[in-house]
Amino acid sequence: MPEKKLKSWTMIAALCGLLGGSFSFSASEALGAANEVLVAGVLPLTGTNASWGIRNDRGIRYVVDWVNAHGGIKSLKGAKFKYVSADTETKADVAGSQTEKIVSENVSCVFGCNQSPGTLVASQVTERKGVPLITVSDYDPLITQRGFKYIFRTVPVMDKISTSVLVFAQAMNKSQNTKFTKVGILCEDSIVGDSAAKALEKHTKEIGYTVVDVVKYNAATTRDFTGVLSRYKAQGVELIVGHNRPADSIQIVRNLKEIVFNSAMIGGIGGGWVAPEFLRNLGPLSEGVIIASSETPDVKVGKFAELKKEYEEKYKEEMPSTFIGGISGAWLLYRAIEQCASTDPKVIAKTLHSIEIKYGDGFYFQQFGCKFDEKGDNTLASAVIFQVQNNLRVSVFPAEFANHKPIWPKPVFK
Amino acid sequence: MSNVSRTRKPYYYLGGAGGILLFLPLVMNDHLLTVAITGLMWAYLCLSWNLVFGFAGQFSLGHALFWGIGAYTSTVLFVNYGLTPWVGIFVGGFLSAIAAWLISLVVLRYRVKGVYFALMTLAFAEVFTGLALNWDYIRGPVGILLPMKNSPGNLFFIARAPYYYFILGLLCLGLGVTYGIQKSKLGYYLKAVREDEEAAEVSGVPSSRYKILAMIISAFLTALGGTFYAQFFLYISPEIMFGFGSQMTMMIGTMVGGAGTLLGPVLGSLVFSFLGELLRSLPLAHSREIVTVERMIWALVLVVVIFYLPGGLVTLGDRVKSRKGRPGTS
Repeated sequence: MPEKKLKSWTMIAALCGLLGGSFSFSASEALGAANEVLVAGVLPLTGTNASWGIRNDRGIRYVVDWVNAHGGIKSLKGAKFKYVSADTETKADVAGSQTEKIVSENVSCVFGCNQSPGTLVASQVTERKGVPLITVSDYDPLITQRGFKYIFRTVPVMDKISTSVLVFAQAMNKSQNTKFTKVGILCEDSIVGDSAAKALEKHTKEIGYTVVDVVKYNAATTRDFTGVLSRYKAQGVELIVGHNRPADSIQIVRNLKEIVFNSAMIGGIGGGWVAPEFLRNLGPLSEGVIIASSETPDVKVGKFAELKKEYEEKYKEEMPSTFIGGISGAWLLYRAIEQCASTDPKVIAKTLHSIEIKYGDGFYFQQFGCKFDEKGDNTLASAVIFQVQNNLRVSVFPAEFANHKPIWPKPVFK
Repeated sequence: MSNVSRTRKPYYYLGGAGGILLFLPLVMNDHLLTVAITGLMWAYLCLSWNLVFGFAGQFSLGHALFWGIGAYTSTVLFVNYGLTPWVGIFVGGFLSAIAAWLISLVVLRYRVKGVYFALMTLAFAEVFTGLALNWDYIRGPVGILLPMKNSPGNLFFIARAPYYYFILGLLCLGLGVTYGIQKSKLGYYLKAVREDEEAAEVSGVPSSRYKILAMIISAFLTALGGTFYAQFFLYISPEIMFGFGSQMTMMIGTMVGGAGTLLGPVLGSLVFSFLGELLRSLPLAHSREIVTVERMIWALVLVVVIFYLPGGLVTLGDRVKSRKGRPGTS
């Protein structure tokens, strides 16, 4: 073979070796030692949903580190957790390929994906391989409607969480003797935004309130809501409700202030309304905003207060619901592994189907505990309403979880 | 635009590469196979877009539209009417071709060219995105799920390998069509139109007719890729199918590999697919900082290729040869 050709082939072989070496090194790295339980997070660490994925990742890591520092998994003779995370880039196809990679490394459980399309694709991979996938922040009903055995969702479906803001408004109207019944729905055009809009419209009609309009805007291109909010103002809307991304929720409140539209309630559902950026950017402008979530920021139960303090000192921000979701999901897995004393994903999945976790057990702080049905939906999952008061999120509804009295109607913008 | 003659390489290399590609599923695990399938899918889509941009010189920003039409047509026909995607894939292709023809008629009627052509095709894609998001018949933004089962008659497989061979077949089809066009009268006409449309017309080349033809063929092929995406990932939504992300991937793969060439788009797309995966697989503790560094490396490689190999990766060999040929080099 001529020298030139030989050189070329040597370079190609070296490149192949480098590629293969890197892939295999990554795999062997992740496999870990025999006394380790490998768990993985397939999460959006970059892209539009990174704000949620990163905090979710922190939550899982927190519990993993805590368990490892407290003697490991006792039923497995002190075996330690090994946690690896993979970035979905907020893309469904990348979520699929990253999950394929993770499950090929003998992982016991996967957390994902903080983005419903990603979770829909990733869960096909985990289902084929018989590996449980725990989702702690995806509300899309489709996720658990496919008859899968290895998908587990700790949060309520969008219908349930959406209607909770209207249940709150109804209760306030009754207790405060007010009659705010004209509802304006404003949601992003994503899967969950659409689910929220439909649920809100249906429930508004069911309770006899008036749907003034339902607006689903293009989340990729809409940067200003003055037009639609001005129309809502002119139409006499009293209750503004919607599911929106972080930047949108901030902009909606700013636009409301700009047009001096003092509705009786601004009700946000999960998403951007629970992101730390919301309070940080709006400050006093967010006073009185009502937010529905499956995590409360001010509960007085178990380790919550010390956890909150620790988080806020470390990250210099309010502890977000996505972090609470992460720790709750990881704690759920820890309890399941302690119970079944196995690292076999199929045994863990079976245990997850039967386990019941009480609210406040260890680091489980998603309302109101966890018990899965055959589809993998959490039958105990419910929403809690909190309100921004004095630049803090405080729980105001339902009464048994409320630490503060709600301010009703929302104070006018100053 | 790079010269097509540069790709005139001995075909036994292609045969050898083809042989290796055929046997890859036997040695790859599911993860690498998924990466390979995704890489081949993007390579195929880059080839399809290359027909319009690389050959006809039309900078289309609306190809996600054809991709989406293909995916939605076969999926809706299967979910609502039980029509097998083996047939639906071609129905989607034909509908996309019709859409491309209609768009081209509008564009040519108003003599839209250059950047305005790009914006107009983007606008058409946006119109369809809005339509898809608000059309309950195709389930709006919620999207459509396909069943996960093994049903070869309906183009569903539990194993990865059949999908690999299917997309490999599509890629061969794309290469065959591109090669055929490259060597035919159509290819020469398109190149003439790309280089100087007025001169081509003066020489008797009906530029409009050939630009429409290139758009129709490209849209048809792109739509086949859309059906493949739906069958492989089993979930489609307007955000995924009509979003600008897929268009970006087609553009980057084609330009990095070498627009207007036979193998450039395939090379560019595969290199970037595997580079992305390689960077994600680096044995680094994941944190936001590390993830960002990975993305920066990816972007840096892109910038370097664009700056130093404007003709694309496919011209790397020629560039190395020319450097060696300079006085003072061995």
